[in-house]
Amino acid sequence: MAAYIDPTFTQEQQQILMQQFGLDKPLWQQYLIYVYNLFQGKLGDSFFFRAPVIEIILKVLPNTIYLMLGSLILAYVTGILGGVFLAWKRGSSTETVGTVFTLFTRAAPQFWVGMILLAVFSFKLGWFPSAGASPAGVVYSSELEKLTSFVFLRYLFLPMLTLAIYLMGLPLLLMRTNMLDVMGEAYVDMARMRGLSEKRVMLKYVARNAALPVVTAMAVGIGYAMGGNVVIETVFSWPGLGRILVKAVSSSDYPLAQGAFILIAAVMVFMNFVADILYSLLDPRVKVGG
Amino acid sequence: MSLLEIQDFKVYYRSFAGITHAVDGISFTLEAGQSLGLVGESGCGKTTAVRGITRIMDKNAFIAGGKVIFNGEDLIGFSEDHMRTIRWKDISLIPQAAMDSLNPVYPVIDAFNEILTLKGRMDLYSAKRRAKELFLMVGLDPKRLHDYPHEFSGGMKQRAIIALALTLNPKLIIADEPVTALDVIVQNQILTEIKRLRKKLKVSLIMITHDISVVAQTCDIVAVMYAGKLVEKGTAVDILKNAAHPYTLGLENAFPNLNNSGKKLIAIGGSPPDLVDPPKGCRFAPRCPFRIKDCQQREPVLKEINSGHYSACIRLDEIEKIRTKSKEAKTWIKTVT
Amino acid sequence: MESKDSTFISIKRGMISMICFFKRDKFAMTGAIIYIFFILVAIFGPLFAPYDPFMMVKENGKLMFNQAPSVKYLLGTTNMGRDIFSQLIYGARPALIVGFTAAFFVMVIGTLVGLFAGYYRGRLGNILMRLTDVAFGIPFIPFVIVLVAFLGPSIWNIVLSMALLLWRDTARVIRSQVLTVRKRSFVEAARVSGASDLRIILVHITPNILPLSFLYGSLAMGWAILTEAAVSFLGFGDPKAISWGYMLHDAYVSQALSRGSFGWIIPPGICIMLMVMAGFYIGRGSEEILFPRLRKID
Repeated sequence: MAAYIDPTFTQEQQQILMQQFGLDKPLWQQYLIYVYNLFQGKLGDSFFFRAPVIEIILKVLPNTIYLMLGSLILAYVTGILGGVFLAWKRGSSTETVGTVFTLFTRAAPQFWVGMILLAVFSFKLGWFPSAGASPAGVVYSSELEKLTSFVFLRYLFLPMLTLAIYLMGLPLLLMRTNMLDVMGEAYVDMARMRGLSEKRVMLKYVARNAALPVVTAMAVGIGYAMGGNVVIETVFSWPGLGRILVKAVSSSDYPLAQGAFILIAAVMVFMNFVADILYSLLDPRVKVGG
Repeated sequence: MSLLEIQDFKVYYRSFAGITHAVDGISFTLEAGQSLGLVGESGCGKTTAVRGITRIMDKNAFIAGGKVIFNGEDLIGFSEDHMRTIRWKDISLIPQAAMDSLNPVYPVIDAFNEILTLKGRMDLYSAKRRAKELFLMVGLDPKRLHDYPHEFSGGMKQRAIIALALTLNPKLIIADEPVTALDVIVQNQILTEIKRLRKKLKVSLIMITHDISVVAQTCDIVAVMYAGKLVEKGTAVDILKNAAHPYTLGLENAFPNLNNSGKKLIAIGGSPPDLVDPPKGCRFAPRCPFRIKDCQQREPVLKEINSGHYSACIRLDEIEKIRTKSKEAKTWIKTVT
Repeated sequence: MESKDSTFISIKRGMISMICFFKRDKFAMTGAIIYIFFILVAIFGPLFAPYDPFMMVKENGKLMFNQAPSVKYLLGTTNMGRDIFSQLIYGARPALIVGFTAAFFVMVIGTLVGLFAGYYRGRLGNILMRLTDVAFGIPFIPFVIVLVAFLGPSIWNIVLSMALLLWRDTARVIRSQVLTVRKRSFVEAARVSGASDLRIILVHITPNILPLSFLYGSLAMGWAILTEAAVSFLGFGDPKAISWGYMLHDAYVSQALSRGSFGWIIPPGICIMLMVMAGFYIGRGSEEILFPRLRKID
């Protein structure tokens, strides 16, 4: 608020502005009004940007979604493949090395990994841009064009990689353990007894069943992803919801901060919901709504 | 030419304690269309033996000797690829745990389609038709083919597994304790079913069980196994009416007989020997009420009593006396060493 | 008095088996060693640190900023002329404080909530469950940021904000475990023989879930340290306690990346990584920890 109301305004002018924003009413009333507006889709105006909050957050939302989805897909695909690989190499030194390395990816702070990637691949080698989602002045004719443009992907790559590195650990280790569990199941044994090829047994019987809990774990993973977004968007100056949140909080832009926070929470809940649906589709033993 | 001829077959396990001699030289012959009951206590090596035949074994198990001659060829020399072609096409298995034998995330019909298109060289349409045929054959409603395994009851699952085993018209089916997990009524149904199918399709059967009364219903010949060795072989009639080994007699005592419901059940005292370092001589001797000093000195060999009936007891000449005495409960009680 | 004795004995038994576990498990040993190392650094390090971490070092009246690593400044200096190596040493303290305090709170709150949610299935259980669900619905880092910005950037505020949400995983897992333990016959026996609820909880159930509690406590240490680092990096950290995360924040805003000051960028991250890994290792070896046993126990 302090940012908005210039202290050089006269007392009178400040009063008028306060009235305009309803800031002169008691706090609880303000809050009620806010919730009321919320349900109508009005989130108030940002102090800093002097524009409706809802516009701002919806504008940056797609960037966050792209980053999140891209990282999730990359992380889970590599994670699952990695898990299958480590299970295959059970007992060998490759497996131990692989497991320890995976732990590193979970123990290292994401922003630090991002910093190192930036320092090496962007500043030192110049392969990737160091900030933002697109070069200044670039305009895309449609969202699809933006998504498929090489330029955009170049900007997306490092942040996506950083987030994916962190997210990858969970599906990888989970998949590996599940593979080992499933390999001992009777139906795997029977599949071999029927003379099916080892490749088929591994994929259709073992991996297919082992992957189920990994999909559920994705719901947990999404929670981590949303937190990670905030930090990674800041490191790479990626114009997304997380970065807006940080900016808003730093500059005490309450409406914007609240709006961004709510939207982040909403996206998270939605993604969890999607993961639940996905799981019930994949496992016939689970009925929807269970 | 016999369908299957096992000669001195040995399957051992590598374990922490040493080498477990799970199957230590068994031999039998099975003709086309015949059914063999392989009887013995849990852990005597029956399952290990048949897994050795199909070569699907634990990682630390290995074939230590002998021959497995199927249709004139020794399976032991076959490569894994060759074995894979034989599996299910010539030899199939009805497993012990039907509950978990099917991929839980696919409908039951998928197992049939998979086998028929990959190994039976059928197109999908013919495969589906064949699957329906098989279900009808075992008395199941073909509509259930599209359900998932967890939606089947125990007895239904067992029938479905039997149907699956028949898919490629194998020459030999191995049934590993196919009815142990079922209640008595369903047990009887399934056994009758198996008998009927065998008659109709003329397929050979090896039935593994620890219940000697089960073999009475379904088997032509019987082989009794103890601690990795065969102690008696013969036709079902031979074994059940004229058992010629103390162990066989003991088994008969231990299982209830619906026809003779007043019969008292007598258990065989003691427990099976350690197979890493098996006892010298007859392996059953420590638990045998009829043992004499010689039993634990000499290695018993299967001797022919009548045509096709063999026993590995050295006191065969006194077998009548042994048979009578074995029916008394007190004979068995004092044997626990 | 008897119930207190048996509780004590059960817990003591639990502790002893824990110590044996440390000696057995190579991973846990490594973790313990790393922790002991950092504890020693936190306590005695400042005695050996070449400079005061806040001191802006001058040589011949000139501010020694952005110096490359050398014998005098082992890791170089910051853009304000502060010795990085000294900062690194002092950084162990906030890390350990945050780690242990947060872990403690998480363990206590999470276990209590999980215990009561699992044992009392009626209204209380449901309320606690809903509470846990709500906690899961709130995005973690955004929440901590907002709260810290509101309360002010101090280390204790950061710990408090984390503690308000971090217990949720523990609670859920403990609850699952309690549900399983409940069904076991000795609990039934105790109930039938008229034991009070409290006694059952203390004497019978608690010892069975304590290992899981400690497991998640040690995991929470790692998560807490990572979160504090992230919060500091974003600029909401405590400038009075130079945590490793804060060092990285400093590095980032002063363009250390473009200057390629790897001596500044790399070491704090490695320290964080080591401590978090130690927490993971102590949490029963690398295998079981990193995926939620939620599904398995459920």
